[in-house]
Amino acid sequence: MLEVNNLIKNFKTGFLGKEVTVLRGVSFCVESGEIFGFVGPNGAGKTTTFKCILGFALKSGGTINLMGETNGKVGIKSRIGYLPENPYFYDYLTGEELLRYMGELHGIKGKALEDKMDVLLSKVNMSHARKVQLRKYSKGMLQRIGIAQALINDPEFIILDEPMSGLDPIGRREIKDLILEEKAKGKTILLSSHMLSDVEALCDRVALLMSGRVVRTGTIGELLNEIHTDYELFLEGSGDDIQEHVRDLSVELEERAGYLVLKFDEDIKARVLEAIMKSSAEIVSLHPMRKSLEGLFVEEASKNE
Amino acid sequence: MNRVISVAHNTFREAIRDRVLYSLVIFAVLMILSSLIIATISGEQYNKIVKDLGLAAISIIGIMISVFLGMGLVYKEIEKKTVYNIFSKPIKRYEFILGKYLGLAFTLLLITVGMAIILFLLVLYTELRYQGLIEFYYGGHHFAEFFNAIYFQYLEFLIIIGIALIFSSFTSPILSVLFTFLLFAIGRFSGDIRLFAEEIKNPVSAVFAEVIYRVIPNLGKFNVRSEAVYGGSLSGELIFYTTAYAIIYTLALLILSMIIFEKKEFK
Ligand SMILES: Nc1ncnc2c1ncn2[C@@H]1O[C@H](COP(=O)(O)OP(=O)(O)O)[C@@H](O)[C@H]1O
Ligand SMILES: [Mg+2]
Repeated sequence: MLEVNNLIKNFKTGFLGKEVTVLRGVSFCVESGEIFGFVGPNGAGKTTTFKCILGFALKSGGTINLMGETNGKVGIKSRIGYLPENPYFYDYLTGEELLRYMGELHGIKGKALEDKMDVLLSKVNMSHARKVQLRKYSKGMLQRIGIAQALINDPEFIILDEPMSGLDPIGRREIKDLILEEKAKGKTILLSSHMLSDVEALCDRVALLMSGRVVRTGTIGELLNEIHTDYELFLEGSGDDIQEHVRDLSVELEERAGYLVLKFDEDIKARVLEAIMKSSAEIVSLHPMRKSLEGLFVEEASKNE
Repeated sequence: MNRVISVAHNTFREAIRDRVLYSLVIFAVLMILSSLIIATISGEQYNKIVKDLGLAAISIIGIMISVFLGMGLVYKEIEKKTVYNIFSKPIKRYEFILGKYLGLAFTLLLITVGMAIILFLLVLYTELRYQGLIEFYYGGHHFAEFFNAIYFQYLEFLIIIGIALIFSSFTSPILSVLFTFLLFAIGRFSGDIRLFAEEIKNPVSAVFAEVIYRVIPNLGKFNVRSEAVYGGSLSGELIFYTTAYAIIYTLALLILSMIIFEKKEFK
């Protein structure tokens, strides 16, 4: 569906036109029918990558193959839906006027267009505001109408830049359901986010982007496998005694709420427990830290500092 | 072509929902009406003043609308990032430029026609009251010349929108307004500039003036307001050539805008 290879983008900035490299060889590919998450902290280059894919910005190097097209023919856009980051729309238009305009640019008209608008407006829960000018919309409402306009042409490939931003938890849930619904219809979705919790529950595969480079790609499961699970052990008893016993193990110790807390990796779990048994301390609780990409994210980010 | 019409429609919609436009139109109507008051205090000049001031008001307001709305035509879409929506749809860049142009041109057409109707009713009212006097002083009513002056005026607006559109596609509104007004001023006086250069007989400035005369549209051609007041010969040939001149210039300006916009990055 989409193949990005060694994409490089330089921007000229400032008065003297000094070049800054924003994308330093981004490579990833999105397979047909999957939900692909493009994740990275703010400023990593997600939006810039999307702008290159859609031909808004000219790439400085590398190749992009979008549905078999390598030089971004205009016609291909009739098969694509795009939600820009922080969508701003014509604030003098009402929600339905915007959708109608966007639909017309796709060459859809008449009853087909009106029907499609009705369906989409109710799908994103915006039917009540269809005759309200966009200047009176909240950020979340703009996001919803933005998603509706991205789907107006029933696109095969849907590119969403930060689709969950500005939404409350219920809104995020709804948008996730909507994305899954599109996937169930056989559509391909590429979405970006700086929030891992968004992609974790949604994406088949993700690429982790850091400072203009893809540092990891894979399924959520694959990425999670790379992360060591931490355990937290809460103890009651004498600190000195315990320190003595776990001295040779790589364990972090800290005091929290009157308890002594030990943090350690999965692979030494048995040895830590054994050591504790020998001490005089009482185990209050032992639990695994929640598995998440967050850790990987932070780890990669600190590597890139 | 449908996409061009959609863009034009939206440009028109934006214009008529813009407060700037309303204030300018209200200002224009006030100016036209005030010509009546000035006229009543100036005796037998009555008719001349209504026509003269009225046509000048249409000219000034039309030019201001062309420049002030023209400057934002493309700039605003880039600045407010609406281009990301537009160009994620299958529309070519030149179609967009053409649509933006036609949208504003249509807006101005309606405004010009509206102002012309108001002014004409006023002129009709004054001329019929002093019919004998008018015919004696001005040798007739010159209604045909009046409408011809309005028509030429609209042709001038078409060129000014084209100029504003070019600047709008690569520079900020302030510079756009500045450059557009500058070109407009040179264009209005380009005939004079050429005469002036001939006077001073300096070869360098003569060449310079010739270039300006050739490149910058000679907007003086579109001013036939004195014929509308005093009568004069406006041949079919003149109308044809002036129309052709405006069309060719406008096309050149449009093509230039399209070329500039084609390579534009939206970053
Ligand atoms: N037009 C531009 N000119 C110069 N630098 C830019 C431009 N657009 C983005 N950048 C820089 O590129 C980097 C990546 O930006 P962006 O792609 O928006 O990141 P993300 O979407 O991942 O948050 C940022 O450091 C940003 O400052
Ligand atoms: Mg971004």
